[in-house]
Amino acid sequence: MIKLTGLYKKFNKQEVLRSLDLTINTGETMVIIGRSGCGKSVTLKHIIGLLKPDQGIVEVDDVNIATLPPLELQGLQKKFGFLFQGAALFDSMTVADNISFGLRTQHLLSAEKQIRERVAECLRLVGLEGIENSMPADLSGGMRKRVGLARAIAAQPQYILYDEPTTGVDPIMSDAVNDLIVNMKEKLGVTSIVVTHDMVSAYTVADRIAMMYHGVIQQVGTPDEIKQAPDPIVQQFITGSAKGPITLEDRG
Amino acid sequence: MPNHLPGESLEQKIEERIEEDKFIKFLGKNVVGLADHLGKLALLFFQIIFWMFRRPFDFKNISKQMNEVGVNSLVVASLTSVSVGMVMAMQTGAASKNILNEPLFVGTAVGFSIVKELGPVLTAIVIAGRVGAAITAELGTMRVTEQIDALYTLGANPVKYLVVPRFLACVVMVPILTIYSNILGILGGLFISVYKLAIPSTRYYHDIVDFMRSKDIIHGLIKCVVFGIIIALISCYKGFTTKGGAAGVGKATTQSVVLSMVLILVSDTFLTNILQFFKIG
Repeated sequence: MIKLTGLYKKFNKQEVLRSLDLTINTGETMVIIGRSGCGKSVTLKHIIGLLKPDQGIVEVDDVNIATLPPLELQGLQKKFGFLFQGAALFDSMTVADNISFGLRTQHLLSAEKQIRERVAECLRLVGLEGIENSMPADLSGGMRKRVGLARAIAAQPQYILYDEPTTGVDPIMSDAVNDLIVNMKEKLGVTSIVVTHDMVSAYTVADRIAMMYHGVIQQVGTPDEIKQAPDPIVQQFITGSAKGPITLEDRG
Repeated sequence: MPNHLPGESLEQKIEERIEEDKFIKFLGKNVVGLADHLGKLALLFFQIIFWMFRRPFDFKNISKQMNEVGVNSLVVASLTSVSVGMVMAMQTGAASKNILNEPLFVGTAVGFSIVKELGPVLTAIVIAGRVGAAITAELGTMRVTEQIDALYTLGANPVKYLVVPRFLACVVMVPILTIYSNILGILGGLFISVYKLAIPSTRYYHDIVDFMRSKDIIHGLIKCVVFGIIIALISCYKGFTTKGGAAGVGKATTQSVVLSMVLILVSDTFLTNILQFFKIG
């Protein structure tokens, strides 16, 4: 279980998170929605310990990772897979080396044959068979994103954090990515946190949806509860209307 | 009772105070900024030492970096050192001829200058420009494209995986390259001595070995190790702290090279003083 309590983060003078509370139960898929720049990615980075909160608690399996010493934090980070917004593939390595990187550093598989098989399996899951020897620079944005996804799931982590998994991916592949997220949960019992703007994707994969606004969670609920929420801010966002309480200048 | 001088308006007094405040703020900001950077540099250095001795040792990555720092710098180091050795011989020979009517102690002047000063300093400056810039640009790009964050999420510590191999490569290869540069520089001097100044090669040789002690060579090598540490530390630190996309990478790379070069030259002054104090060369 992941539990965020009173999370507060400021960059220079800008408050990004203002006492954010959110609980993600084991085995569920939580989708975080909200406007660009509202702090969704920052929240994800707090969960995996890439950022430390100015105040507040980030509990992963009852351990507060905000105060964990670096070596113990590194051990805990092995429970996570992270799909970065821009994929963050290692430019100097082939696709296969990117995907197998975590398997090697964490010594999860030692035999080369097993590693090759796992890499091929992950690539098949994201619809990119046979590109093991390509370099990231030779791939399109969408393909890079899918290789990033393959890398995130390769070590079969307990928690997977997806930062906009369907952005830059064509609609058919977007649906396949949604299926992959659902399958990871159903087959492996993975707990997922998905940050997205794509409401179709959100309704497809989510057990619960949390809407972020002004550095706090505005509303949490099942997709049906969110669809029927009376809150005008939530309604304006999920219907994608330019008119309403959220103005264009308001970054949320 | 106003607390300003008669004839001085209150506005002038306020403006002066504002100027004073600006100066104090400027000074304070820079002092705090410098202390912040020095603290983070020291922290990075301790992290490097900590991770350097922790298993597993990534020999493949270390040898790749050594190849990059050392082998790939051979051509530029050769050109620099041969030219410097030749110029030193020409200048010393000409000066000696003007004063003493014959070129005396050319080998001694070339040998000592190169082994103790020019070899270490010029090799370090060449490496700072070639390798330091590449390290900062690569790590800076990895920082702004979140590849360094990705390392954390895949269970690899970026200091161990990225910084330690580069640090070891610089600390080992800068002295090796310097020894190589010293030899080439002295050979460059020999070429000019024999073919331009008509000094017999045996005399050039004896001018060096009769006066040079092992302490003089150690003097130069200690400097190289310190310069290697400076290049690795500054270039990795600047890369790790890069912000602001492609423009940020360019800015960090420039700062890294300039800072490394200045620190090499400034530290050389202190090092020479310290080494002479301890009678090493």
